[in-house]
Amino acid sequence: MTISQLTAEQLYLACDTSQWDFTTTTELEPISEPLGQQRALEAIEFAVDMQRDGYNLFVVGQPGLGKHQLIRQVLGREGVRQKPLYDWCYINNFANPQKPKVMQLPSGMAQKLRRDMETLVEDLLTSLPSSFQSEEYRNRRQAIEDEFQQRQEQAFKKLSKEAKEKGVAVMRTPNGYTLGPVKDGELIDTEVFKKLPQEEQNRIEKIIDEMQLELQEIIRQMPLMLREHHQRIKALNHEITRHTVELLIAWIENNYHDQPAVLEYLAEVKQSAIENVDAFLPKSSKTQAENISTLVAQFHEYQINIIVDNTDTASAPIIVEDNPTYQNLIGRVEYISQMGTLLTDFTLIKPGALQRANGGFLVLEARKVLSNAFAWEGLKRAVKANEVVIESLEAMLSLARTLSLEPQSIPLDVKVILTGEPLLFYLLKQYDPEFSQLFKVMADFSETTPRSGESTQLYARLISAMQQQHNIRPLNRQAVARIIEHAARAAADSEKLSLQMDSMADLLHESDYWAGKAGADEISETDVARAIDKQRTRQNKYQQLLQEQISRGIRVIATEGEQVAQVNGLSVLQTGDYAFGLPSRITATARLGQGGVTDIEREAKLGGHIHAKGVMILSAYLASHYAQKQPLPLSATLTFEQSYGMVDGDSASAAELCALLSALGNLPLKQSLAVTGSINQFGELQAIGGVNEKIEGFFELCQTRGLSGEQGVIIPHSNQVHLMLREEVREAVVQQRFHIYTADHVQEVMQLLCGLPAGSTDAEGNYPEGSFNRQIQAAITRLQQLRKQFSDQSHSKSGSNGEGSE
Amino acid sequence: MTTTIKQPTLLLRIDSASYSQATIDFAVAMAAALQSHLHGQFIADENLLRAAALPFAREIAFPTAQPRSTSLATMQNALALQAAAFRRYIENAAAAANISCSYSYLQGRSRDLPGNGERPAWTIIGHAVSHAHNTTASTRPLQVLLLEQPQAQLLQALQSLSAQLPQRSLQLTLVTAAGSNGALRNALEANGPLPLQQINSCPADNLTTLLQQQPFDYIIAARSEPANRLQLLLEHSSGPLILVD
Repeated sequence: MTISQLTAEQLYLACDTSQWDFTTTTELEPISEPLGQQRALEAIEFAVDMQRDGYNLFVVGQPGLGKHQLIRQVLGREGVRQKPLYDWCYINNFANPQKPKVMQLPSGMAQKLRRDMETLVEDLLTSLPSSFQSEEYRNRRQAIEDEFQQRQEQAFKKLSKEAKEKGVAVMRTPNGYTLGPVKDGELIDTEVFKKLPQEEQNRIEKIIDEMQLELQEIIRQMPLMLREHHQRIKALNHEITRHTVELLIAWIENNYHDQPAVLEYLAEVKQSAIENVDAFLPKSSKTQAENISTLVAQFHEYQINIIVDNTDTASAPIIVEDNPTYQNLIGRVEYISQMGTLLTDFTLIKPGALQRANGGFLVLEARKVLSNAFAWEGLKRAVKANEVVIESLEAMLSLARTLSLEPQSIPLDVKVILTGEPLLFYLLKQYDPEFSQLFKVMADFSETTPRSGESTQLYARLISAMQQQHNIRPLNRQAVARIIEHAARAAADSEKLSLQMDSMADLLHESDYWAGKAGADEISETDVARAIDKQRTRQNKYQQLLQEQISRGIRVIATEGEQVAQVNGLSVLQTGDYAFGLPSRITATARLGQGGVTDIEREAKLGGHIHAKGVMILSAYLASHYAQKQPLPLSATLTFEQSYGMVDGDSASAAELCALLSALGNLPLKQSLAVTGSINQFGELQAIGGVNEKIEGFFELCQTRGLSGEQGVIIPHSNQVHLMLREEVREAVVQQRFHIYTADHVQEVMQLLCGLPAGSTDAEGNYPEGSFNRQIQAAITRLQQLRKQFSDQSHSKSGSNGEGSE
Repeated sequence: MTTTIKQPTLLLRIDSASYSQATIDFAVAMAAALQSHLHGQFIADENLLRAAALPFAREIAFPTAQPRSTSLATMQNALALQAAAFRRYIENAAAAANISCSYSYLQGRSRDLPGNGERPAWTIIGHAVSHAHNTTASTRPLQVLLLEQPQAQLLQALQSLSAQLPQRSLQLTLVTAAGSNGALRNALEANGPLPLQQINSCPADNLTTLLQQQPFDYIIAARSEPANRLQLLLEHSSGPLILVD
């Protein structure tokens, strides 16, 4: 058994600045590689280089470890994913406008094509009306008009002449034509007609019948003539239009002779423009006066909707989508409201992050993707199919929808990089069968790195890099050392350094602020210490409230004197990012019985599983250590006094066992000491978390009440390496006003608490007089005797009762 | 003492054969240009009524070309309907052009000249105006026949006509009166704004031959022309006849 009282040097591993030869960080070469993330770095490099389906990357790590920075650093390297880049556009599908087509163009060509198409429409708007105003066109059209009119008139003239010769007049009525007999230039009326001889009447009727047939034939031919007339006009218009359109489009075609997709599109444009020539002709003389650019903008069907423009992109695109909603990932079709109706066309298709990242990388935060409805499913579908289909959510869910577009899908070649906490990664791994197929590479970020001479040197260079990157004052050597020591404290291990880059950046900024306040040109150790202290005081309101309650006696914690069955345990509370230690009064009761140890926290459903396990372990130790040969006739209870919230963890199991042993053996325990540490079934002390906060929590209480020189904390020996205590604690230890003890076994803890030796058993298994174990052993023996007496009395009582009844 | 200045009137005579909205539009535009009152006169041609009353009367309807029996009553009804449509159209067009208008319905012979009792400033005797003539797309110059008559407002009529069709050039055939001093021709040639492409001259004696050989889009003549000459114009015109004081 070893009980050690630690010296101030053992409570804090300070940086050895004598190995450093720099004065300020400006003299240090900034670090170029990430510190302590070699595993993650290799994983990222592998995933980036691996050109196979499914080798997407999930970067695992807590926030603030510099995941995005490292990803950007790797992706930004020269030669990463050197592939040809393309522009992507949506164009009108002239055959089916509801299904816009997609066009892939070499980088930078989309903008050119869009400009060319705008110029084409502008040219058509000016050239086509000119063509139709040309002398040639007007003469040819007039010739057709005249010919038609002439044919019409000639037909009627011929009929009228023939009719006149036969004594018949052809007259126009409101609804058509009629014929009547003429005599001496006058139309014969009914009375005169009836007076004519019957033969004459018959002759006239016959002539009129014949003429009527001819008239019918002429009128019947009229629609055909009209049709022919329209066809000839149309053919003329077509010819004029084709000539103009072909001339203008040929000029554009020359620029895209090696682009079959563009040539195919231009052929469709040509056909469409010829068929819809009227759209390019002014509706009235007023229309002509309109701004030509306004008119050009109205010709949506000939526009080029550039979805991805890589004109200025030199290397593979890196898209970081901070708001990965379904639509922001996949793209969407927007609508415009016109007279209360929602309208859309291919020009209103908007790209998502997937399209923009095509040919490169898409970086997303897994939590955000998962918390946006349908975003995760949409992302997986696109990555799995290697194509992105813009589909509205209404369509996807088969809800009522307006008439929308079905844009052609875009082939996808993108490396998706998700970042997220380990919990998310393992949940997805377990519950989403597609996840492992689509995200085959995990880059696991470390939260700490071992502290060594080499790593502290690198850490100093890292601080230098951040100082220069964030444009803050240089740090002197002591300030660097203070930050590194703080990184060890943040890692809760004197032999490790925290890799929380965000926290370190915050500390640097705040140190810089306090240096500025002090009017200094460089950041000193004092500035760093002040920044750390201010960070703590900004967040410790709740801690102070609890300490105040203890100081005022509202929460009862004794820090001097002795008490039976009462031990100061230590717990850690967390408010946001801030953790602090707080003493808790652990009490125990013990009496005759056979119920074992009752954990009141558990019974009240305020204790967690780990705490329950701790109590079971201490019960097992109690029984195995003190009652190996006889039953333990004990009913005991354990509780955290004035605790009204959940209690979990087993770090109080040593303190709980001490309280129970004190209750059992009626052993007064020193209240000036607090105990932390978990135990195993053999009573050995095991390391716990938050050791620094726990010690400081008890220290602050004692300091508030006045340090007596007796006070201190007992911790497991294995926690010694984790100690990075605050300066005021260390000073108190130097002055022997506060003590830190390490122990390996609960017997050592009891020895310190009750001031009695543990003693060793003799050949008969008895502990020596004066040892605390002797008192416990005696107490158990008394309980066993009481139990025997009680049992004997019960038997004799039941025996006499039995006889009586007989 | 109050002096009433009577507004000049433009008379538009129209019948079934010459009925067209383009003719009415032309008359309304002319009246508006002249700031005159427009009087629309629909003539129910008595020859049509006679023909419809015949026992074997048929009407070949357009565009079906199907013959159907007709009668006096049917024809009267059809003419009344067309006259009503004419009235509505002319009233609306006049209101839109901000001119006053009146309307009358007469039964008579459409080829008769207006009676002596009617003394409008100008008269337009309808003949269907082809829409094609009035389109801006057409380049053919308008063929206009002008019968010279001293003191008549021929030049003003020509200017009004040209103002209605600003895109069109005019090919003018001037029928010179016996003993003409060429004043009208000189005035025409001196009139810069008129888009005259060509001026042909024709002696009055050759008028019949001219009318038979060449169709004219518009004919402008003085009301004071001899009656037989006006009748000749009416019978051979293929466009509206504009009679001026």
